[in-house]
Amino acid sequence: MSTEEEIKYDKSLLNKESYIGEFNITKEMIDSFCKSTEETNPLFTDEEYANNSEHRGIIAPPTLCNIFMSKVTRPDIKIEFGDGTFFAGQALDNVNPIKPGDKLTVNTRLKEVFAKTGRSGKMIFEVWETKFANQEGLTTTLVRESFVHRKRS
Amino acid sequence: MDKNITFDDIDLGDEIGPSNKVITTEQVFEFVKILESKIEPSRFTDSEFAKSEGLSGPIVPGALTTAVMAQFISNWAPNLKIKTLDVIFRHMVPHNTRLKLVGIFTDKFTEDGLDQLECDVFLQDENEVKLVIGKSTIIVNKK
Repeated sequence: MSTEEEIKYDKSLLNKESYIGEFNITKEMIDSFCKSTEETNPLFTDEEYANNSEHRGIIAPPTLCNIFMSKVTRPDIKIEFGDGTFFAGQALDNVNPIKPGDKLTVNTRLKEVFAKTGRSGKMIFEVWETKFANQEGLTTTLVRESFVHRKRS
Repeated sequence: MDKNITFDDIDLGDEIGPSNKVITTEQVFEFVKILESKIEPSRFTDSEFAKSEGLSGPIVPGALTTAVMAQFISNWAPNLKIKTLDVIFRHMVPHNTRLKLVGIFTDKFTEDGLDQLECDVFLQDENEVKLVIGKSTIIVNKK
């Protein structure tokens, strides 16, 4: 296991927040999302049921924000290691519900860079955290994405 | 959709599913169209494009796979609320193939007055190869 100090990358980017943009949430967007995932939970699909829930209306399914992740561009952190990078996984934290009519502001930051040694040798993990906040400034969702750098041979 | 469950209904080791699933090309197109007015050729939408990237065919976007895994949990009981979902993509998920979703409860606890469950979720192919592995923390709403 290596320490962070041994990894060469642009450390000025660590925890520096970058503005990505704003996204408007519509009922049609939620409907299309539910249709494509075959979602039938009435909290997301049935207005009458949802109006009687704690949210007093339709809310978005828990991974809706994920559709915006393809719009998130990140700076090159210039890691001096390996010759291959792959997307390793993601984690979503649902903090507050998203509703139709919400305007979400999106920011992203480099959360951490660390090394791990596995069966295939040393790998460097680059972890970005993207925050979605609604028009009231409340965080709705945090998405952490991990990218792995490694040597192919 | 099944009925609401209570915290006491769940024991460690209890399972959700299995549930068979096919993510069709039509579903992928519907998903891509949420943000894109025109569907451009990509590894998700076009066979030739996918092959040019060394894939055997178009694949399901990771965001759709994640959504399907979340949907598998939230549809099991409507009063379950997904607090967190972590996924690791082990293999590509192709369109129009037989998939299986399974979940198993691994922990239950009460924190900040909220009854919560931990559940491992797996998306497998028909040979039971785990394509995507997930772990979710779920809040059990009382009503």
